[in-house]
Amino acid sequence: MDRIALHADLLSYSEARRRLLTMGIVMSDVPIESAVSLPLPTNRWSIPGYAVFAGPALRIPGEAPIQAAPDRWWVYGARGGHLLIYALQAVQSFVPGELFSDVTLNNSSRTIDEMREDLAVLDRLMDGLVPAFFAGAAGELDRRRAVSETLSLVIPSQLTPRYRALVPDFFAWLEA
Amino acid sequence: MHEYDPSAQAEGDLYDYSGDTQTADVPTTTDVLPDGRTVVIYGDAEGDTRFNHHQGDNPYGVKGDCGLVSCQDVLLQHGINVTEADVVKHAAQNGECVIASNPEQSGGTSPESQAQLLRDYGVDAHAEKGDSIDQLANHIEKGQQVIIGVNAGVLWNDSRYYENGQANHAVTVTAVVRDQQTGQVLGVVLNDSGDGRTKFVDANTLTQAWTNTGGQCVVAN
Repeated sequence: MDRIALHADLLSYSEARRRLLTMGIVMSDVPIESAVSLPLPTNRWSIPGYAVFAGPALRIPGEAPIQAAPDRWWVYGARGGHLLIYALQAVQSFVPGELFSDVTLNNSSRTIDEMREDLAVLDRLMDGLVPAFFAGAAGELDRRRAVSETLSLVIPSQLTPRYRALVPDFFAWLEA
Repeated sequence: MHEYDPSAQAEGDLYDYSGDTQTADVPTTTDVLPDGRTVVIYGDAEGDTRFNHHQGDNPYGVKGDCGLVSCQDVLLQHGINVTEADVVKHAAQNGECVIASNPEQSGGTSPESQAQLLRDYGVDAHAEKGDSIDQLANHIEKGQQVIIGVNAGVLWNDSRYYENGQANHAVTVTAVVRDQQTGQVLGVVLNDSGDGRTKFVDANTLTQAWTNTGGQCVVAN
């Protein structure tokens, strides 16, 4: 009798982002005061996954927030959401040789409701696009452009280099 | 969200609502809202105000230690007399907080490490993911102490600190406010070391700041 192969389904991007909130490593090891990045898809470690970085942050009411260089990063599987890699930058950097500096974030001109809506838009766009990325397909150009524009809206420009260093394959695909 | 006014009415009858059993040790007071509704406040919000202070009061230059200051708050509620400096030093020595190259950015703690620190001082504590405000209220009404992870942008109503909408700040819940007539949780009172203020946070804001960001909490008995 032929065997039927089993495999876990790909998590949608919105589900992957939801799971980040309370995944085990976040509860056990990631300081609540850390600034945690958005998860972004990557094939950088051979298995489809979502990569995240985090680092110390200083938030004093009335003052511009500061995000220090990332001090840790991790990747969880795009199928099943299990932890694939977790490392401190001091032990294994996600971009060896690169040193990031503290960044002071400019005042955001957007309200919280607008930022929330921006993230909801990102979720919808990524839900529709990410399967193509993981399948090695080109993906619709218009959708890739829309995701690129939305990412530029939700990711402060000062933090973009960190995201690009973490998942260069996704950005290369997105901007092809 | 409102500054908490501790000038509540004298102690009133316990409200009988369908829910978990409340311990007799949890002080209750009643108050009247501007709209005329009578509310019951479970917990010693007024008394616990004295345990709140603006984080960063330590000789190590540590400023990003809201989790540790919340732990200090809980320890003080348990009668364990510690300063912020004491808990920062303890956490650093025991690997329970981040030590960054810039001391101002040091002091960060995960929910599990907060719970571990409390246990180090003899307080039974654990980290968990809360599912609802009612669940949070039940902890307080049972006489437990709770540290919750919230989104600072939502709590302070300032988009500069919203980031990706995740929990990024720890505060200590000291009381639950219920509508006396309906039993509905209207909000909580909490000590916020981020600005050193004790404040009432309505249920809607709490949902956005805490429940929707994962419901991270540390519960101490």
